[in-house]
Amino acid sequence: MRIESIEIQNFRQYRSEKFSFPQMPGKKDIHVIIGENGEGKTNILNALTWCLYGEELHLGDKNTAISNINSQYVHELRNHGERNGEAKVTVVMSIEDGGLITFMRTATYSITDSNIIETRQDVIATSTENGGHRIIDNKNDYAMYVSRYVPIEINEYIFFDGELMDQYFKSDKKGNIESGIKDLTKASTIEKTRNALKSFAKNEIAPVLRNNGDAKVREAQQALENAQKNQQEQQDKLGIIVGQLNTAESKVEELKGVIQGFDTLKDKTDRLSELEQESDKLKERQRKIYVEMMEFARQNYILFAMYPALKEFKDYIQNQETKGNLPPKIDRRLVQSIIDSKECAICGCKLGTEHLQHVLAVLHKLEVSSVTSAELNRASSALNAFFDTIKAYPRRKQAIIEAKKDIDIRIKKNDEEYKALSLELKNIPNQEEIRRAIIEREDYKKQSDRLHEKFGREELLLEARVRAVKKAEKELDAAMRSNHRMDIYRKQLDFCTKGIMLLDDTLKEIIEECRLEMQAATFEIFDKLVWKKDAFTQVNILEDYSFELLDSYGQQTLGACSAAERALLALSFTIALQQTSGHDSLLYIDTPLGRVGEKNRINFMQVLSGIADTKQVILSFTPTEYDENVRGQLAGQYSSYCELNFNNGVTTIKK
Amino acid sequence: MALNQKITKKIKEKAANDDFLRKNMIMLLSKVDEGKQPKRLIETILNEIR
Repeated sequence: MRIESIEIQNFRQYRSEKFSFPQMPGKKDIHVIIGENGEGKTNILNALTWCLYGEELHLGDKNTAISNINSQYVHELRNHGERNGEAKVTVVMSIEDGGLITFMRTATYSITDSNIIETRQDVIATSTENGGHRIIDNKNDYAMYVSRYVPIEINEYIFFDGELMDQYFKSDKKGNIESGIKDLTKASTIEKTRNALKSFAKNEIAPVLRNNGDAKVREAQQALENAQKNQQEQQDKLGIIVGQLNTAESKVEELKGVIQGFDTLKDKTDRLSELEQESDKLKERQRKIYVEMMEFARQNYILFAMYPALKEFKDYIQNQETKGNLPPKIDRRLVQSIIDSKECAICGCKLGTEHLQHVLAVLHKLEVSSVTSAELNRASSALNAFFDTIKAYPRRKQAIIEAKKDIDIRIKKNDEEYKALSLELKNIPNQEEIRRAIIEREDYKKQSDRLHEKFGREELLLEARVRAVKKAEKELDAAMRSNHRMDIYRKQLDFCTKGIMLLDDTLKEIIEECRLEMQAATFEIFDKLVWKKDAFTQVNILEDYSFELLDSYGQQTLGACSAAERALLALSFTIALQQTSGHDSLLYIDTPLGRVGEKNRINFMQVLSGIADTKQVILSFTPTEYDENVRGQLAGQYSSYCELNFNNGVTTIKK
Repeated sequence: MALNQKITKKIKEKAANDDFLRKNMIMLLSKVDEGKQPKRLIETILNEIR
């Protein structure tokens, strides 16, 4: 299928322009449109989708977009006092058998001085297919006709916005990939038919059984409906869990791409802040040890200064003691207590008068010894304590030195680790993004584990409810069999049930086979087109329609590869989808190099040029995109080329 | 686009022993694929069951 021409009248910035895309002999089916931003490149796509689907699918913001009728035209109508105007787009397509189809949509507007109101839309499709001529002017038939050739559900796989191409595989786009596969493989037709059968059985046959005169059938039908309701509730519950699980798992995969190679970054940044805190603590401890050391030195300086004098004093006391000039070291209070209690302080025996006389004599002797001698005795004890302190000096000094050494070593080690780690981290780009991604991935992993457990529990419950439905179906069947008046309904219900089962089975198989076929075809095409040979080894389309692009080590690399490579994968997937489904369509890419860096532009253009060997490729570039290299790449290859000219709010094709 | 041949083949295999089901399911899918409303089509099929 090709687009032969697009004619735009009074639509957006176009007054009356026709873009023709003929394939010229000896040239590729490539068509180039050049226009600055805002000159109307994207509005050619909008005109195209509006004509086909009645929607401008490439508008920046639908809510704030003004009416699509050309403003200059409206101004002229107002000046001439005209109250009605028309915007019209005509698209001519050629199909495989050589037939031509013309799709035309016209919007009529009522124009006042302050308002523009769309009053009606008309569509008309004319075709020359299989030698016949056909005119369709009914909106529903027109939509059905469009759907046969360019279904709206897959328009994203035909009309691309190059700026968004590398976003194709984000987790929130999985729905598009799923619907693309389902629509192009016709799995959506099976789904629609199966749902229609289900709804017919539920809404048309079940009420008859529920309200008929046979009590047994009524009860069995009621029981079946209850069982079905329980099953549906459980299925919905499981569906929600599966949705959450898929989201969590694809987020883990997506984040893996961001994190790849930097898995330990979080640990490292955590360690860095740990080292910072540790360093503060160690430095505080070092300061305290220093103060302690100073205090120790000051104290010991005093002690050592006093040492000679005190040594002399101690020697003097010792000398006096040796000479027996000092009283014995007896506690006077103890002696007095012995006298008072008349008991021996050691054995507790009662003391007689004679013994008491001896004790009194000791007390007397103590009392008569000179006060100086007693003071010397007491000083001796204090001096002993002083000399003990002096004796402990080397040990205490050593302990303080050891503590200081230890803290110095720990600070040095900490500093070295900190420096090495911060140097390593400095060389990692987008650190904050990676760190956030690691934390986010951990959260999603935990969430995924929890959901897996929950899924297991709920799945068991679903199995039980499915069994209950089967049992209720059998009971209803038995109840209906015992009443021949119910035969017709039983057979109808049986047809619906068998049909639903048949379509369910077919649907599962088709989707699974297509997914695997798509997977293989996408990689085959991608591998052929990609400029970095042997860098990628496999494409996986997982059951939840998320993508994996594996590198030569079998690692997911989709998140980490370049925008150009992702855009190329999107293109490969699209071509694979069209090939697998047999839907031969063109490719229209607006700003194809929008997200492709300069380095990869030639490669990307070579790919597009290769694609044009088998299908029509329409490309609209900005002049910046269409640089010397791209021009060189396409020189002599394209079938048509045009430049847009924007003047006074109107875009025309440069002659 | 014609209905995927794979689908037709699978339906034929799976409902090989039930002519009525096979014939009508293929017809139903083809018509739905052409854009016809399935409810009317199902009604017509079920009316054949007597």
